[in-house]
Amino acid sequence: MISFEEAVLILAPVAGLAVLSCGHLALCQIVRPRAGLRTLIAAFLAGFAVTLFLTTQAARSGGQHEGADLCGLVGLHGMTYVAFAYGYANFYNLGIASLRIRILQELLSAPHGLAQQELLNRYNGKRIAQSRLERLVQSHQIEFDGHRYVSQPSLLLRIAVLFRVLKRLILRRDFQFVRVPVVDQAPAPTVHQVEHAPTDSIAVSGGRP
Amino acid sequence: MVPLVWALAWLTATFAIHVVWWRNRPPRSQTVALLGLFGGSAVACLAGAQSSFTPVPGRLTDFSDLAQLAVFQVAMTLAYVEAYTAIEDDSPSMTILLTVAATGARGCVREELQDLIPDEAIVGRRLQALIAAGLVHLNEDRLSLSHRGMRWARRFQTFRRLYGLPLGG
Repeated sequence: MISFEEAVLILAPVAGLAVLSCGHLALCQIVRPRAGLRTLIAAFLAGFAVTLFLTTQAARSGGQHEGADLCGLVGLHGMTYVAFAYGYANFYNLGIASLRIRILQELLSAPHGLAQQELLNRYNGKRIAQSRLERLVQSHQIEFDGHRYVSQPSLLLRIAVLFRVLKRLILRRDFQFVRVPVVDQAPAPTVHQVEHAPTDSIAVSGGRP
Repeated sequence: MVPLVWALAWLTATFAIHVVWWRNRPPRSQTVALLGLFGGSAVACLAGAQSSFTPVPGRLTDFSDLAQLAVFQVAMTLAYVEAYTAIEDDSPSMTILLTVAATGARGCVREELQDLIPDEAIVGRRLQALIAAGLVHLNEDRLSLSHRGMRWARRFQTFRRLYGLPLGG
């Protein structure tokens, strides 16, 4: 039989996740329309605070955890909460960015079905690129000066670089379509320029054409 | 501190096995294999942590410690399986970001980026996955939702309305 303090200690990251998901949903209702990333960050911080509070309180009242043990416990529960929060953020992001769900939505809006070409006319690579570009500019992941899109150091770029490293490490391949466009007017970037791109680790892809 | 050490050791060892396995012979059903690998190693780790063969300073005898370790393992497994889908498939946003970054200070014009993503590779592949999962039917070039696909599409429609999200993708 476990005590109440032990149960709280075990479930502290789950309680944090509950605060994150309920808090985020509530904030989305209040801050409509276009709740954006800020509501998610605010809810994440609230959930993190609840996780840490419950962990430290339950550990102290249990009387078993002090000093290094308490630090280890906070580290373990902190990482557990971040993993849960990552899962929640991905779930939320499905509604924004998932191509599969967009295809289902397109088919739902066509009661008699669609020919493959009709689907591609409604939703294709160009449209995907367009909507992603708008989203990336709006969230300040890239800059648009009215004519050209220019990279800048951003969280998503760092994540993309990390995923590129993992892709190479685990699957032994690169992003398939990353390439430097050939432009007549402007010179192509040199290896030096590419090596000193904002993340310091971007390289021209050797991906398949 | 001991549960944290077990947690980090489990995560490192499982990721190492995953990398070696996938580099040598990637499984056909990758998500199922990942769940099997992480689940199996989690059970082995929990058994090892309370085993009498484990030296006492590193042994977890308290149920509470073992349960906290198990919650960590569940959270990490789910998070990594989700992250892996982004490693396996090419995300259009990441493709655009990496391409723009590779052009450095010169940057890209819209037309260069719009041609980056071939319809067949992005939409076609996802469509095939939906057909294979039984969510979409294909009859003589005509696509329609199956009953299951209809249910999922309505669930996501409700989800979008609940959060006030625009049509995504």
